[in-house]
Amino acid sequence: MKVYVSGIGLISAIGRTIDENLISLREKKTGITKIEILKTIHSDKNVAGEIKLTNEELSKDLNTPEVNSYPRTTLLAIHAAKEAYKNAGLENDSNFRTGVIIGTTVGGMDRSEIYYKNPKENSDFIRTHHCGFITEKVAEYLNAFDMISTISTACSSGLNSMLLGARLIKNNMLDRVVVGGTDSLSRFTLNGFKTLMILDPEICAPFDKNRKGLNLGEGAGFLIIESERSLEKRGKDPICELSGYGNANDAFHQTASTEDGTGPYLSMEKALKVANLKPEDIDYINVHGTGTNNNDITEGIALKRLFKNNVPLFSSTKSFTGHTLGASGGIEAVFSVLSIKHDLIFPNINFSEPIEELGLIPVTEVLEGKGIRNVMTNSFGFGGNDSTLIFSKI
Amino acid sequence: MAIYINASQAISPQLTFQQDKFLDEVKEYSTLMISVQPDFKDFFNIMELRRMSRIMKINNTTALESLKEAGIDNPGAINTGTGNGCIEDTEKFLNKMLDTNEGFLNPTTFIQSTHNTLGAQIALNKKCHNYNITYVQKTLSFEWALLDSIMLINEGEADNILVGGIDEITKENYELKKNLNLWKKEPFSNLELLNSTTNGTIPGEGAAFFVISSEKSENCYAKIEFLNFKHRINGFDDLSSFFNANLQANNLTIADIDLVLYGINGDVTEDKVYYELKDSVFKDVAGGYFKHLSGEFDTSSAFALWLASNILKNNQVPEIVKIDKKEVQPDRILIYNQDNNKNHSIIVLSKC
Repeated sequence: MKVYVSGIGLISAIGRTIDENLISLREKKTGITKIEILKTIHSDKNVAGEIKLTNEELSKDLNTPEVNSYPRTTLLAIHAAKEAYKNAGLENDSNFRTGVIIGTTVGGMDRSEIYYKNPKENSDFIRTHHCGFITEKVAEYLNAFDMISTISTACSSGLNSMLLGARLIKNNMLDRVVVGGTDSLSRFTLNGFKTLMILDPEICAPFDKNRKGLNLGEGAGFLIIESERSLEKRGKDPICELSGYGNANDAFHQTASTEDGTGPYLSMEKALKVANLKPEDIDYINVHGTGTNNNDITEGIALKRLFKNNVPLFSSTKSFTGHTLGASGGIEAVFSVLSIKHDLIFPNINFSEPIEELGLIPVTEVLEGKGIRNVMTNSFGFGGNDSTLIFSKI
Repeated sequence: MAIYINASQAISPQLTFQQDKFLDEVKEYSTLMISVQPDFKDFFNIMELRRMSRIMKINNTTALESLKEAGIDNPGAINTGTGNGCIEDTEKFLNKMLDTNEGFLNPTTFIQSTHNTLGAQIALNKKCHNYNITYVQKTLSFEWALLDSIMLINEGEADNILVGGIDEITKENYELKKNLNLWKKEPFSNLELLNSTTNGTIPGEGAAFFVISSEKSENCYAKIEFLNFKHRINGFDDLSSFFNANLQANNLTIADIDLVLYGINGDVTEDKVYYELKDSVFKDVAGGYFKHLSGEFDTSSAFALWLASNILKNNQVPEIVKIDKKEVQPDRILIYNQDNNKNHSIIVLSKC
């Protein structure tokens, strides 16, 4: 059984809609700027892929109850899921089972860190702290309750939500699934990554020899995935197929990946197998490419292990959006779908020199008309949780 | 495809971990129900233990002992469910960050604060490169981990899967949740849950892990007949239909169920639905409960599965589990849990 993508929705530092994101990507315009919305003492020394909208503004726009009663992750998720739902032209139909599956790492932390020491001021924050709250609220907003699930596998959370959604359709448990990732900036994660000393104080340079680390980002990326039966019933043409998915664990270290790229290699290999494709069938890879020393070298090694001397055209879009953690898989899956839809490859901005040991050079200019058929996207996380998806042209 | 539970281990507020007797002695609590901890030095060296928070100790111990019990070294997948994840490490990092106004912080608690540390640490310990997911859908977290595992077996992706539900409670988290009126206002004995006349429950915690397989081993505890859950159900009639439809879809009737384990937690409002079911749909079926043993927490259904699988394996329903005094030696048990009239879940298992 095949699983199709019928809608996309997106909010990131480079745009509040699919169209805005596409314009920024084409114009090579980064969203990584000084931190302004998040209240942190580190704002003058760090840049991030921050969405310049306050929670109040997001909430007002979505008409969600009580200003500031939802965590930022929830607001971003509703924003992107709403766009995806509309983009798919989906309407509630009791003849079809609709589910919502979301990946996140931050959950309600942005509110928790404000009220934690003053619970009397807003004791309600603890109710919205758990990650599952986001999914409950998105389901409520879309009135889609047949199955709801939340996944937290660090930075691969978003892709794993899509992998699960695809399997639920194949197992005939759902007909349509709203799948995606969401995460917001928070002081908790900013300070956490700071202690790990892997933050680049300037715009990151994925796959560059002189890369200095990652920039954090925020956003949400959603897909509507659907069964053939559901699409036929409503006479809707899908955008592309979600053809492959793979999940593996690096089992090496809580925060670093193996030198030989075992986890990334296995997740890509599994995804190819599910899609029934050969390495040479992949036309473009939206790599994880965080810009950290460790990620880029091990991902590069895994690419060379799998694709040998024919590594496909690839790029990291993290120097546009920052590393949006659990949302990154969601956002980059949307970019991958856009790549197929518009036959477009996005540039890896801020790259100048290849990593010597790899000699791999990412795409640095916008490429069009390459005849893209299959696009792969990777997300690797803390705990060695690695995932890969493949999207295919119909 | 039939799914078998070939290993079942739990660390809980009761004496459940590697005991000779099956809930022979019951521990009484009046507020927090904290898990009874084994001597972790029997399982890990001091250096390893130093890095582990309480949840990691109970998580790793139950998980690894489950694999040992099943004789499986490299499971085809590791699926974990947790409502709140690693609260202690999250609190430590958050407190330090707030107290020092984002000053110099130690990365260890941050690294270990992510929910997937639970599944990841097991994979790391066993060098297991296979499928690995952590589910965080509040009181459906364990159900999702279990459903995913069953799907993987049915898809032919894996033969033996390690699946568990894990949550911890801390004093600080308990205090914060007090403001939401989740707990009993006064100290209340866990052994009096059935006699409760007030709102609020007693919080608990624990880890329960299982090895589920497509083939039954000599050590088999039980067969999982089905699992289903729903986030929202509108009213009692829909709930009864949910039960009937699920039983029917699995070629079962109410008469086939010998024992129902209800998620009664002592909150009179929340418990109403359990008593209503017990007096109507399941009026002729023996009833039992489990949250007086585990306390209320997001993955308490994992504890219930440990309890049910042990009842079937030991051919014995401990007196402390029974609601009524009906004599029963069940061949088939239904576990029903819900959370404030949301997240309704049914697990049915039978003797293997």
